[in-house]
Amino acid sequence: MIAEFGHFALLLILVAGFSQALLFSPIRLTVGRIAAALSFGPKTAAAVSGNAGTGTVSGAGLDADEHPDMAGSPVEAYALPSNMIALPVVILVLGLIAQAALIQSFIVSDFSLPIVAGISHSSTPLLFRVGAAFITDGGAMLLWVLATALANTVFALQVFRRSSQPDTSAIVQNQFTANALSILGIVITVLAVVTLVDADPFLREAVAPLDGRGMNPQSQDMLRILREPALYLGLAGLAVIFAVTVSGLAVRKIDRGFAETLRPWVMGAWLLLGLAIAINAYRSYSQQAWGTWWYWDTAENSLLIPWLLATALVHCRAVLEKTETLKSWTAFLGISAFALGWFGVYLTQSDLLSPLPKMLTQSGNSTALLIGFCVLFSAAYFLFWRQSDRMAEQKAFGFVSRESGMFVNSVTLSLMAAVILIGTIYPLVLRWVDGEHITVGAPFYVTTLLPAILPLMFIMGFAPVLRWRQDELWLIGRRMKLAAILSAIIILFVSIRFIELSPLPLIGLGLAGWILTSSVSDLWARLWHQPDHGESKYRNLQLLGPRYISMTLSHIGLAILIAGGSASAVWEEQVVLSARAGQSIQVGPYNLQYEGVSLLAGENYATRQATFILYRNSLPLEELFPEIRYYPIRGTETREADIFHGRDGDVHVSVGDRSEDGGRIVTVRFLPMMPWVWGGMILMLIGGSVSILTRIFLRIRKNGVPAS
Amino acid sequence: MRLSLAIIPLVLFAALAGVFLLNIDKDSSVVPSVLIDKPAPDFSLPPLPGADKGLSRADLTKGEVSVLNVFASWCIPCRAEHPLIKRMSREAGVPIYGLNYKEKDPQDGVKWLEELGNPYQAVGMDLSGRTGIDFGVYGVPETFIIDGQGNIKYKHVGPISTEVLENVLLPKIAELKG
Repeated sequence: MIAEFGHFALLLILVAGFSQALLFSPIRLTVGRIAAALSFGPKTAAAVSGNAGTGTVSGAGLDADEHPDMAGSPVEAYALPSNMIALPVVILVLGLIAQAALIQSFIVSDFSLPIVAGISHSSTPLLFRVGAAFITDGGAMLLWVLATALANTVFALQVFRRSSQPDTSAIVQNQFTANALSILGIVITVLAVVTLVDADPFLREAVAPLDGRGMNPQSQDMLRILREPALYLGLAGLAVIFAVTVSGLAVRKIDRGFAETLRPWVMGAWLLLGLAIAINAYRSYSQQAWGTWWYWDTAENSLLIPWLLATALVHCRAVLEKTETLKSWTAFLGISAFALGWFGVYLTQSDLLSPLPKMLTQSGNSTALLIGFCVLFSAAYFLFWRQSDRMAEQKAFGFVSRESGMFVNSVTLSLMAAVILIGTIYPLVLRWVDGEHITVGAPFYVTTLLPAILPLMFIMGFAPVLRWRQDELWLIGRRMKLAAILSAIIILFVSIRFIELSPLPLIGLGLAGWILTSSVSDLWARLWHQPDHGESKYRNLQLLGPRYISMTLSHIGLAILIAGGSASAVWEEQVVLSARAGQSIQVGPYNLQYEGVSLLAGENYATRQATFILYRNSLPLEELFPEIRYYPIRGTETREADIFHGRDGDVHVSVGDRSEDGGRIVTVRFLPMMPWVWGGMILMLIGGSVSILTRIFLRIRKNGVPAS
Repeated sequence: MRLSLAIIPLVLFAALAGVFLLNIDKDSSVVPSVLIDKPAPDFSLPPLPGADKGLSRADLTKGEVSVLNVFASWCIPCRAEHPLIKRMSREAGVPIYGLNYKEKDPQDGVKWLEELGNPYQAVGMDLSGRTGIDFGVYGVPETFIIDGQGNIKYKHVGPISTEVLENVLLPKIAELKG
């Protein structure tokens, strides 16, 4: 019964999304005008509101729309009636109802739903039964619909607040926001249709199995489940960017106001996708016992590609806001980020790239997802083609300027995204063309991405100190001299000290040093060399503004991440041995004492838990418990590593089978500077949050003062 | 000039969408057919302990149709299909070779054949699984039909059933024998 309720809510989302698409589209104006001309507005509105179900939903819009007073003057006809905000809110509520119904079905283990029976089991812990609602194809689609509905509502609130007073100059603005809402309505409709056609989570089977097939133990992991909301909220942010961009193209309003509207969305999408990537990286590092944090597999790449485009967008959106240049390029990125995000979801859900034959993966059908992708984005790119060259880029910028630095940056990032996309789909295309099977892995990506990353990082060092419009090379040199000297020292030190090692990670370390020193020296210069009007350094920090702080934190975070990644790759130590209880293992500066394995029972698994005591300088630091878990429902094992994050590196311990001589196979890795990777990621995320949080904070404070 | 630049995204998008739309019905499970009509990979495997003859590509290129069956002692479906392999060796009139895939202990394969009977002309021992990878083996059992020139003509994934043997494999072998 509950599931049917959710199913109905999903159907209503389709209807309501379509109503939103219609009501905010230019058709609305025609309808309004005709209604006003015939002057039976009030009657129609009453009749429509009287209808049951969806009638009330669309009635809220039509009521205001067909009101004769509203359609009287052209300016007011373009204004958005304030009660039309009801529609996005209704969609959001419906989305919540559908999601709640699905989660409820998982909580009570309603096995007559194939989606529940396929992935859950009565013995699955409650937390993971809830989480299971997100990780099947149907559940993920529903989550995406809900996330988009949420973004849609927030966006509606954002633009409705702004368009409160109708005046003549607001016509384009209102047309622009109405179009964007209409496009979001289309996106929601398409997503709802895709969910219903491809992987309807609410279908029921006449005969329910006695129990479910159980969760894939690989997915029974908090991080795996947390990744999904971050991913789909990020994609919802990209959907808003897409809608705003297409709308901006349609009314040819890609200007400062456009960039301001985009600002929180670009930052938010960047942040959430980055969060999803970080969660995913930590998960592969900790859960899968071989412990690499990046594999270049399809799921990871399909997160990375939209994130790279969002990063590019963060930069060229700032240029657009500041100087009103790079219009077409920003529009292109705005469409492409969502397009490739969508495509990534298609690649992961369709399992096209799975190494196993289809019968083994039991993946669902994702044809509708592909068709929706084609329809939506071919229209968007067509519009881009028709409109973008009619947008005049009046102002040019110098070759040496902040704009050109940002432009080169975003082009490079997009090229990287393109390379990763090619690497991801190339095996598939090759398979289709001549049936050959290949896999594309780290060597390909490293060799192709490196020529792009190295100059990018070099530019990253000095781009923030460039002036807008026009700058002089010798001036840059003067500003950068401290950073140049410091980073030269770092590079020299590293290369002399570790000359015998491979050059690539050393270059990475050197460039990380360059970014770090240049960011810090610029921050330093701004804090201390600012004309000091008798005010404190804290005041100087305030004057820098959240954007500058956010950028600096993120750049430093990336530098730290790259330094950590390079260092842990070069200086990694690995010990594999067959250990017996009481044996001691030397790795890096640590000593690891193996205490033996004990059999324990988890909530729905049995585990062989090994105990290790970690010593440093013969002082015990911590106990580590890597495990081999056995999940009887699926009859599979997972290996969980245990990790100690020390100040000079991670100790990563995992255990394997019993070896032939009666010992236990133990793999211990010491990854120096690995905490830098996680710290760098966290710093980048904090950087992004600073920008958003200060904005929210300022708005709340502003609203608190009645005068403003 | 500007026009041509702005159309690039549309063209690229159309290409990407087109490739994926055209292949929408292509099931990845056709994967197993990759090696069909291609020469069998080159390999040379040692014999089982106690046997004198291993298995190499030369055995498959003697000018007569042959069958290569991938099996392992740890594989339950292999046990199930084994009587049918024996039946095939009686009825098909072609040599059947065995590829003993990824045994933990070489003796396991010997014991298994002693217990169930040995229908194979020769058995190669693929402890590392390397040859299996070259053949594109996804899981055991798998059965290949190879023509006299060493080209793979047919591949069956999974255990052989009576229907498969009678309706697919035996007719295929007969057809190849001409």
